[in-house]
Amino acid sequence: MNTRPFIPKFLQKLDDRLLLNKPTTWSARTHLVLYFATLFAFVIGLICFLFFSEAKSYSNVENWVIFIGMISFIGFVFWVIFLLRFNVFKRYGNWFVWDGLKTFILYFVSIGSMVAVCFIPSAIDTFRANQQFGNEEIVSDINELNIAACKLEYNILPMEWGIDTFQVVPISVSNRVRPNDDDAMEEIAVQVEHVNTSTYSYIDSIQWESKQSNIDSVIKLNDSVFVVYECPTYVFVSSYNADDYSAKKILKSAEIYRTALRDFKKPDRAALFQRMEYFKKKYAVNGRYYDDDGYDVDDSYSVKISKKYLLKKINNGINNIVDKKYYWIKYWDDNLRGFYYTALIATLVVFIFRHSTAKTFFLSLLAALLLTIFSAFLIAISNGRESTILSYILLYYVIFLAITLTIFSSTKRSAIQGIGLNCLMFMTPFVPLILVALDDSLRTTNYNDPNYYRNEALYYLIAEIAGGVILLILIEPFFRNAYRKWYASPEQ
Amino acid sequence: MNVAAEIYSYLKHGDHSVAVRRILDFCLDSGNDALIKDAIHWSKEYHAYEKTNTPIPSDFITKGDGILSEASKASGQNYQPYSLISAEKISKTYGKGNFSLKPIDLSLATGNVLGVVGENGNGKTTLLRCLAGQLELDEGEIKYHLLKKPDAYAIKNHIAFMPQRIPRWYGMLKDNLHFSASIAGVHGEKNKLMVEFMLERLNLSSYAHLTWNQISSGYRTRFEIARILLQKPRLLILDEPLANLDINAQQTILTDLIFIAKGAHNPMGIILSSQQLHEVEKVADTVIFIKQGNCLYSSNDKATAITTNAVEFETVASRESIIDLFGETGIELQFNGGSYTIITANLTAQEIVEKMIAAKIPLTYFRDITYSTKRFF
Repeated sequence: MNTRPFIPKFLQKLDDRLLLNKPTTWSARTHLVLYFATLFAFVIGLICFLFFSEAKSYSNVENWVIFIGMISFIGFVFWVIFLLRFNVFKRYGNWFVWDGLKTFILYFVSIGSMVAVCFIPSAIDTFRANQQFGNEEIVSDINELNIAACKLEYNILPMEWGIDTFQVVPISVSNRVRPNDDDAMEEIAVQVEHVNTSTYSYIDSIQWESKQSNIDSVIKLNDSVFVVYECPTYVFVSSYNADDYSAKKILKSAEIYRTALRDFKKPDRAALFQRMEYFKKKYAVNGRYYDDDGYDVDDSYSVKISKKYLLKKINNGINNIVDKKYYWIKYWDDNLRGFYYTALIATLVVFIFRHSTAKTFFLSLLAALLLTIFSAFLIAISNGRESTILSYILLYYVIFLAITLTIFSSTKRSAIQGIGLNCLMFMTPFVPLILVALDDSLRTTNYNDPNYYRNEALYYLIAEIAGGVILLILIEPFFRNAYRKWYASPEQ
Repeated sequence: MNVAAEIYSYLKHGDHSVAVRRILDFCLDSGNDALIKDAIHWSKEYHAYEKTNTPIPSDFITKGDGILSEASKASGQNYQPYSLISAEKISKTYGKGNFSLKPIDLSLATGNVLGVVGENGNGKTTLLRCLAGQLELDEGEIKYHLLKKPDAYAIKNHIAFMPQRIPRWYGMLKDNLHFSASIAGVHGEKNKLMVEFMLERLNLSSYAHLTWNQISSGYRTRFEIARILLQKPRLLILDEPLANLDINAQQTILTDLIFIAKGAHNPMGIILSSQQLHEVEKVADTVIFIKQGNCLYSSNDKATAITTNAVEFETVASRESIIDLFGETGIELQFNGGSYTIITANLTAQEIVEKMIAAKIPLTYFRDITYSTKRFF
């Protein structure tokens, strides 16, 4: 048997064994793809590990993903052109019940391994950031930085708190009673005479609820009127989400005030300067730095402090670290979807290509393009609503289904049937999503619907899973049989 | 004469090439893998002698005798003919006013060869593609007797169709053969053995490691035949298989196909089209001649039974001298520019040639074409 270059003996043996015993598995060449993808992933992982040595620096993962994506795409083309040449189906080989499903899964695994490699840089980036900085460490450092900056620059810090007065009104009447109502304003002003009501305003109950979590201090005048005190900003360094996964939390301005400023004692400035230098080295971003705007025109205390201790550079460094550390926690679902849909769409295209004639495959692409143009035209001359677009897509699906069903009663192979079958198969995993989106778009016009505020994400997730499951269930009994009947039928 | 005796005769008279091929077939029919391996090894030995122009040693013949006697003991299977396909009044028209194949009846059993002859563009390929299930029939019916509920895929799994232009192969030739055997359910060691057997049987072993671009068109045909045979079809449909083969290869391939088709290992029927009338007629059990879509002649059809004898010959003698010789016997003499054809109901071919020799007419070529489709061209 053939001795292929760059393939170790064990893989050659496996290849030979599959060729002699499992032609369907052999012809998918998943074993070769997995081997080369693993090798490639290892090399890329190693390079990324060495390159991504400084977690505080700006991430250039996107460039790596583009680069690896291009190599993976070349690998995909190579796989399609050179490795998928042997086709059991088109050679009318022996027919086994699960071959269709097996073939689809093998293609998905092969393509999935090529797609998965593209996620290695971000995974290594996250791993390196977590390796270099602990969750608690960053929060402690941020707090220490802010307190140190406040202590060092105590003389220029403002100490007067801002005051706001709010009248909370129920959401049902908030649309009717607005601050423009001068009589109402006056009436309340009398009640709260002893406080500054210059920034007096109405707030509905929902907004009030959300505002409460950010209030530094509050006085309740009565059941609906509140005087809110806002501490000046003492937080110069922070990072969104930095304390999401830490037991310690980033101190708010009010907490810094209470901890370090309310009973201010003269600090050991030399020691604090030393700590600031340490943090600068630890977190300040080197190289390109473009967030300088405002330093020269704004002479506020916060700008002065930031400029003096390079806190923006430090802030950017901390942001970079936090972004990298929690990238996979925050975006795991987006990454999973990116992987799944790229692999699924490519698998569908390859599966369809392998079960269709070349002519019909390209005619299907043309048909899809023409339908898109036609739909755009229809949308342009109609109302152009989302529900209309989704309805057109569902209508096409029904038409493709009707065309496909004619295959089972037909005695000859026609290109139209092939196009219908190809398009039907491609659309099937997305039909539940389209149905949910259609339902969603129809309900958005009806705000009185009690289900209006339902958990949309859950419905979409169920639809996504259902689409994949329906496709897998239908591959063997429906699609493979339809392809079998259509492809083998005599031509006109 | 039984098969073993026939092969002994080849060995005895020094027809080593055919003896080697027949022993391979005989061992395959025995179903004994050890014997098949011995035969393959013996065949390789023969090809090595042949390649180096070494005289065949006597121990080689002795080994062959030994393998043959072992195979004779092991061979318990006999080829049994059974009906494979029958077509009734099948016809096909390509669009309005275009070429049309007029209704044709035919049938074929395992071990039999049906030759389809005719000029270019007269419907041979259309007929073969209809029989292979590639073209939809306008009228008529084809029955595949071995398939109980034939669907289109099962029919194509059952039949192997080799088109005139063979689609190119990708990768190493041997991998393609292993793959073909594997998709036909021949797995593991049996797969290796069968591929090695087929390579040796068609004398392709030394080309197995090459790729499609590295072999000639003749070898491509032979590799395609090997691939098809490994898929164990019950009906083999070959469109102009001899087109790319040299004269020796044509003879060899045709006789090999007949032997393999009649083998107990995988008895099958063969339908082939060709322009090589004499080669096809030598091996075909039935020959049909198609002209402008009509079946003008079928060697099995009593309705088109021949009532006159026909001979074809070449001579340097003048036309007048031939007419003088046969003047009173009521012959029809035709000259096509290269050879003469005599058609007569009164004289047999034997009588015609005897008369010409007696009259000292110099003959450079003579052929009895009474039952040949050549007379229709």
